Amino acid sequence: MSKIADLELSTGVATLAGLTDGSVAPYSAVYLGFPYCRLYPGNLLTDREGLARAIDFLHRNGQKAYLDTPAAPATAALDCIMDTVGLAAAEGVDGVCAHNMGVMRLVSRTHPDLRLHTGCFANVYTDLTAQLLAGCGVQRVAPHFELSLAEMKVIGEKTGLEVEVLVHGKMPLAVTDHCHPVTALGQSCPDACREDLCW
Amino acid sequence: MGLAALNREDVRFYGDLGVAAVVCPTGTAPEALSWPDLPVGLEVFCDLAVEPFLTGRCSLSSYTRPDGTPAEVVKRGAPCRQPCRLKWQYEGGKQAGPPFQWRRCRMEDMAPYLQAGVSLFKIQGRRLTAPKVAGLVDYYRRLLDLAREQTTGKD
Repeated sequence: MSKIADLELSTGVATLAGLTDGSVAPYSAVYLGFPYCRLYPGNLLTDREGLARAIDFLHRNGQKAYLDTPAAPATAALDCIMDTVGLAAAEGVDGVCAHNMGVMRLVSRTHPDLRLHTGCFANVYTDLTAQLLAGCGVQRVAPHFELSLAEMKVIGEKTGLEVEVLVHGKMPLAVTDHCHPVTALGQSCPDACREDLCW
Repeated sequence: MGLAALNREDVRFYGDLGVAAVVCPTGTAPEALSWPDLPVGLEVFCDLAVEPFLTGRCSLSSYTRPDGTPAEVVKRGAPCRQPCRLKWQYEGGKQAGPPFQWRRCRMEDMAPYLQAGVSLFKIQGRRLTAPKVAGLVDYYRRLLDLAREQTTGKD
């Protein structure tokens, strides 16, 4: 089990404006970028200048900067993703989070010295999956939200991997390769997901 | 399909693990599958209800139940209740969905799949009657034979 001193409190920030305007001071680390939509305005996964400034901002405040990556990337997006990872690595990013096995392995092979996490959509339900990921160079997993604390404990103990748990906030329930507000509600992009819709 | 292999590198990853074939997410277009040197077989649905959320990346049915019964975890064997297929009432009175419709491949769809390296085709037919399944299989058998002739002719 991790010692209390090793605990890390992190959050995710989609844009540079969200990082500088919001208070991230209490956090030890911040995941940068919005993994669900590359068209999200100001998304740090496509705003290269903003990403460099965000990493610098966090480091100047003594915080770790992790790069998130798209949750459902198509083949055509892989080169762009790896360009962003390369930029982040050059800027001294502290780690990369992958939700997708292809991206996970690409990062592991091209940046073997970079800390590698898998996100909540990597389908980690058992210690066997976590062990497989550990063999690929992954150092931290985020088990699926449906797992109990006891099951997460087993994953940590049997693999030696860091286990990340969501303790507060929105729990993502699904990923789509379509945009639901745009297709179902006829809203225009990029504003659809910013409307106050609940379902 | 629950693994949601979405790109070339995903397929290579599973191929290196010893996987013989990968089922692509529903609605995957042929142009998204044009990967040279495929290490595994590719399987696509040719007759299906396209799912709005990626299988393996969706927990809706575990938490949202149309009949109010207790939630079950789909990824642990419970049946998917397909809440994504219901009409959703949005806050503010807007109503929408389900926006994703049944998809039936046509002749012009099959040849591109074959050219992209797809060798396995699947029909979503668990809820269909035997005569309907027979009709569908016959339809796709003829479609595939024609598409193969067309593809071979191009080579």
